[in-house]
Amino acid sequence: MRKLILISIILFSVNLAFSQNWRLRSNCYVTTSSDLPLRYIEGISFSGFYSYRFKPDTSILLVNQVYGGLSFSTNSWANHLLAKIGFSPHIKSWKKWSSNADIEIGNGIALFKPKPLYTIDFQSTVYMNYHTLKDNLWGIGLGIQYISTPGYKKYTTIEQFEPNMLLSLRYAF
Amino acid sequence: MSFRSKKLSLLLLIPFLFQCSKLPDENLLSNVTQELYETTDYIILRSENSTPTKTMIFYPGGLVDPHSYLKWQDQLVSNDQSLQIITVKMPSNLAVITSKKGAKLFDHYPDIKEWYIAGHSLGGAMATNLVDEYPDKLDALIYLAAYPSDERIKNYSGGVLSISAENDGLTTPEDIQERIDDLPEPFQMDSINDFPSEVRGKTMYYEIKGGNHAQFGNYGEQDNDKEATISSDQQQAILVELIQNYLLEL
Repeated sequence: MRKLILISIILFSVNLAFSQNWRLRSNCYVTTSSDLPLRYIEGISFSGFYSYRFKPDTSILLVNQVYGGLSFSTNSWANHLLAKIGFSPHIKSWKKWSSNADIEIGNGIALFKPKPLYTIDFQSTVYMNYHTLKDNLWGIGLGIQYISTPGYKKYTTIEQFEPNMLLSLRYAF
Repeated sequence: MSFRSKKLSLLLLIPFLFQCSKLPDENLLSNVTQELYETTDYIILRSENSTPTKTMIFYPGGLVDPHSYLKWQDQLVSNDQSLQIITVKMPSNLAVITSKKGAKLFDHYPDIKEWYIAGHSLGGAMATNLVDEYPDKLDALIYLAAYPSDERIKNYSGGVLSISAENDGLTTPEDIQERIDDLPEPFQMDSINDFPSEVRGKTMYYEIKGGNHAQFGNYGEQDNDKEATISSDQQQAILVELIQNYLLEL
């Protein structure tokens, strides 16, 4: 089994928190254009190729800093529907700045017929937030993400491990 | 199509992003005899120890897993070792989202002398966009149960091969006939060897008797399709021989 590691960057990630308890997030990941040797397979160079994942999700605060929600993602070969649970600890506060993290795990399915395939998703992000006078909050995040559909390895000659470096912008009001 | 119309069209696609794609039999890959390379975006099939001089870009049908066509593609590459087939993986398995994705391959294979594009169903319709954009780069367009949405490539100087199936319930023979004026000069083939002296600038039409829509791949049955009276192996054997003969005529 040939192995392929993809390193991706979220070029576009927006979090909208409409209240303290509910959040809508939209992420669009684009893999690096890469002349990375990691993307060379058997002497074939694929520098300059791009793939992506689009991942909108929504979550609601359950108790204390624990939240749950649904996320949907689509990438080059499947659509995924995931139920997720996460922990969002506060790390530190300064005068106008604060820092927190999101650590979440999602379990769900890749949408296939005749039967869906189990999918697991992990995401961890650390945010730095700036608080404006009107109590709005702007934040930027950095993190990693991993998604795997083990059953799909029966169909593909690559194994995918996809750590993503996230650049995220979030706005709460 | 205006930019606004395109944005509206993309919005209409959102419900499709929640749909399931059809997977082929999980043993399909174990039966592939040729060299198979795969990235997140492409599936490359070519003969071992040969340098391809011809490349066929392939666009899969809508909501069909791109591995579903490997069985007949493997046979085609096995018969013509100068040919490689690159199947393009589409976002959500819908070619309509990135219909020109295949163009990225041109720069990566500067030594390829002949380029063809083929597509099944929605993939075929979207392959039209690439031909419209790169008419001089592509030597032929091969439709499998597909047709263009308008007459943009009516004056295309390369070759067009339109392969349909008698019992296709989704792309019916009537649908194919209705779009005949949108493509270059038609030529109805009586057999898989029946070609005119010059195939470029013309559209070859061939209907596979007893075949249906889903048997152009190996992803099982498809809703609204009709029952085939030949097996998928028989349909795909005709398909392989027909494409092989056609490429020799180009």
